Amino acid sequence: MAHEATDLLTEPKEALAPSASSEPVDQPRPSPRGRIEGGVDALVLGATFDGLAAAALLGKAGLKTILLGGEEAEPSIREFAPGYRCVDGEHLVGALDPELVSALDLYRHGLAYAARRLDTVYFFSDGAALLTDGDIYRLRESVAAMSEADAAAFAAFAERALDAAQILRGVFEGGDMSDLPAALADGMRRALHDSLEEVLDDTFTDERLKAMLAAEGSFRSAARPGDPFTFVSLVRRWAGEAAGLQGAFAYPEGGALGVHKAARRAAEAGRVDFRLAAAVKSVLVEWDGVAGVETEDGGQIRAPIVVCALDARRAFSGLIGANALDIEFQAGLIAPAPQIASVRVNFALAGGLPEGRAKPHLARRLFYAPSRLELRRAYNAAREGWREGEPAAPLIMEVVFPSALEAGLAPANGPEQGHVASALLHPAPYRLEADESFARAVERAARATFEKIAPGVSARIRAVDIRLPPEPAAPPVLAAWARARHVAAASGVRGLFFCGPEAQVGPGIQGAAARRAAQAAIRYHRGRG
Amino acid sequence: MIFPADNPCTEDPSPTALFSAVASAARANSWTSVNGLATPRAYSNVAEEYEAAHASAVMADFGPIIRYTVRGSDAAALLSRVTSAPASGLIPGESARGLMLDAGGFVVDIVEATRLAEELFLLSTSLRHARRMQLAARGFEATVEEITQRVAALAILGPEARDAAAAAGLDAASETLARQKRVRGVETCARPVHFGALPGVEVIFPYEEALVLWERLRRARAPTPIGLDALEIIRIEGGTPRPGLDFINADAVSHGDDKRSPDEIGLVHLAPLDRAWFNGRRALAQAPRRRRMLAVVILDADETSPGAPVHGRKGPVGRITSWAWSPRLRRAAAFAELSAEAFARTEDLVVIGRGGGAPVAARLFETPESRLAQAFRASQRQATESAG
Repeated sequence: MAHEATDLLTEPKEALAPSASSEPVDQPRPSPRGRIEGGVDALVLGATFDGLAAAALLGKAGLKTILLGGEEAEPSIREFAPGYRCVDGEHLVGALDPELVSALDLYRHGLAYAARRLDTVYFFSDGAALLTDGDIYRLRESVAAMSEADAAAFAAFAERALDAAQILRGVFEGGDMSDLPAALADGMRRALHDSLEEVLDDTFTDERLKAMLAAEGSFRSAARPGDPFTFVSLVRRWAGEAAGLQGAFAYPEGGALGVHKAARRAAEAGRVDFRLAAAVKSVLVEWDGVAGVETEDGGQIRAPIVVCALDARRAFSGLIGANALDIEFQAGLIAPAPQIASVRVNFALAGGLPEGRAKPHLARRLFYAPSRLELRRAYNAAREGWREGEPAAPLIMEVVFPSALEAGLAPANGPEQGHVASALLHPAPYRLEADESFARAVERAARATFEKIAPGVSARIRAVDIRLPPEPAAPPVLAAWARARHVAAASGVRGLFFCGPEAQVGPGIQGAAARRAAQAAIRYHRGRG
Repeated sequence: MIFPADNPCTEDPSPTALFSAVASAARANSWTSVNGLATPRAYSNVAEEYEAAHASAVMADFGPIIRYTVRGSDAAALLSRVTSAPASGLIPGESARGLMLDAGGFVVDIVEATRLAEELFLLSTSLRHARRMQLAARGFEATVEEITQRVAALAILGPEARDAAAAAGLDAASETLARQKRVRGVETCARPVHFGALPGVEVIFPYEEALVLWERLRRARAPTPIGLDALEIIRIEGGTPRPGLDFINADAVSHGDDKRSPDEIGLVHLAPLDRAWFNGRRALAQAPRRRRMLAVVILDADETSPGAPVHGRKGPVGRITSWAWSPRLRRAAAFAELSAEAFARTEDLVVIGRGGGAPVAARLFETPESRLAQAFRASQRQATESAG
């Protein structure tokens, strides 16, 4: 498995080459000024994963499709310290839409997992650790080992939460609560109102168990576990699916790049015309429907369908313009500026982890679950912008070691191999323009939290790579769901479909929004025909 | 241009710019509040005011009508988005009526846009729409400012309105164009308007000069001041529905079923779908089924009451929404909201009297507004047939 992953990571040129039957791709084809190009069924804007997936589905359905890239860059592999390489983007997959994987046959197009069903090792503030099975349905066994008193309560809790997760999966993917049977929808609505912290306090006695679930539920979320409607954050987390298993995590070969490339190959197989260098100036709206796009070079590409995989602000305010949008729709796009973010940090470790509880778990997902007091302090500090210069408490940290899952990412240093640790730190303040002092604060927090997982690890850190600006945390699930429903309507402009980040509920690579947008576009195309 | 429903229960309504002059003329001392601004219901005698409006000229304080200025290079585009008025097609001095619709194509307000200069518009609305205007202006090179209580607005209405205005040096440029000029050092804007079927001139001038202009007009020709009650009769005869009374602003309804489309309030001609895109046009284009119709009916009686049930041959078909006794028709004239079927059948109607009183015959009445709507629908049908 590992050597295949190496191939994927070390053959960027070959991997990007089109299949033998397709047209040459990636070549900038600026149309002469004023040129109008027709005969196109659909245009997809944004070469993100969702953009590629939507284009692939449209192409597969037989629509002549052009993918216009603009400024989006695909995840890249880079060397951040001599001999240490990392892949930008998501390091784990936890909610990749199974219907999309099946519809595009992504496995045939190169999607592979270097590790499926990653076990998680939780580290707690009192120094304890808990190894849990990657199968969420076996979590109760691990919990029983940690807290006998809460074992029965956890079994009932897990059953309730996992049932809710299964029922609500369609809703999280942009569906409507009214799709559920009335009685079920009513029960779910009541469950959605609960605060995660209240539920945990009412159900469990063990503080570590509470800390573990509170941290999982609030990881990458802007909502604190004490906020109302946050029980659903944990439900959302467990509603995801990776490699065919609910609530599991998987490490794709090549990291995010591997997933991206599979979607790209699927698009190539669908004979999608890639024009990643063509910059789009505006989306043409004529009367009540889209008519194509105008490119920066003054040309036009006419098409009755435009699928936007860009962020909503850029798509609606930038490319379409307020002039063609209903006022109420535009008002729904206004969102408060993000306050909370997550930061990606890569560590170059000489000789891997020091001796200790973490060392045997390099091929697992390591997760620091701060105590609930620490977590509250961390959120408060993040909301205040780390005014003291650094967070008051350790943060939630998720760590995986890509170098332990695939070869070629870290050098062999003497008898013991070096390792790359890919970490995601949460919550941090959101900064659009982060300066040196912010980067230093992140590094201090990352090191301090990593020390909680693996005491003594600081001495082995050779380099730290911090990805800035930080990633805005996912909005609270209900707010994200409401917004996803709102933007999916795409203001009622005929032929316009949206699958940008705002169409997604929860963080990570998902693709459900792309599938929904593409399916709607295909139905629209057939209706026109 | 229309007054919204008044609210006589408002505590301490604010004075309009013309309040001192109006108060001294309002011998009847009968007041109400429109948009939180004090408005006289009658100055002396409603019948006399009404007759004067049809015979010569009357003057009315239009201060309670909400005004916005919209300035900037995108002012026309913004107004074309917020309202169905053809703002982009107006030449300086020209005015046009339109509707403000929500995204679902339901009526928020009846408005009038006047282009004062290339990049300056005056928007007159029945109700305040600060939030809607603020939201709509995002992404436009335009600034919107509410000036309602910074200006005085005086309307001169009636067949001799233009002569009366001209006598005071306040006439509009023509029957269709506004004129901005200085009158004895006071900056004024005079624009032709209609209230119901009555033609007239509306003069807008700075707040602090309000009394000077009122006095100047009174001395020049002495038009009779007219209050809200007489204006209400003229409005119903003209066939213009009143927000808050005959329909509820779509932004304020508590139940979606209470929203009304332009067709349902009889103003379909103010939101033609072949006009450039405006808010709610896409929803209108999907042609929501007409559920009910607002129409003027004439009763064989001297009075009725809002909410009185209207019956057709087979039972209840609607209700009265507003009414007034029409001196010209010598009967009660009323707006009635009828089921679409009853309206289409133009059947004989009966209005049940207050407290289950004796039923009174009623019939649909053609107004200038309903004639416009009818002509518009006919042209639409013709266009559809020729396209087919």
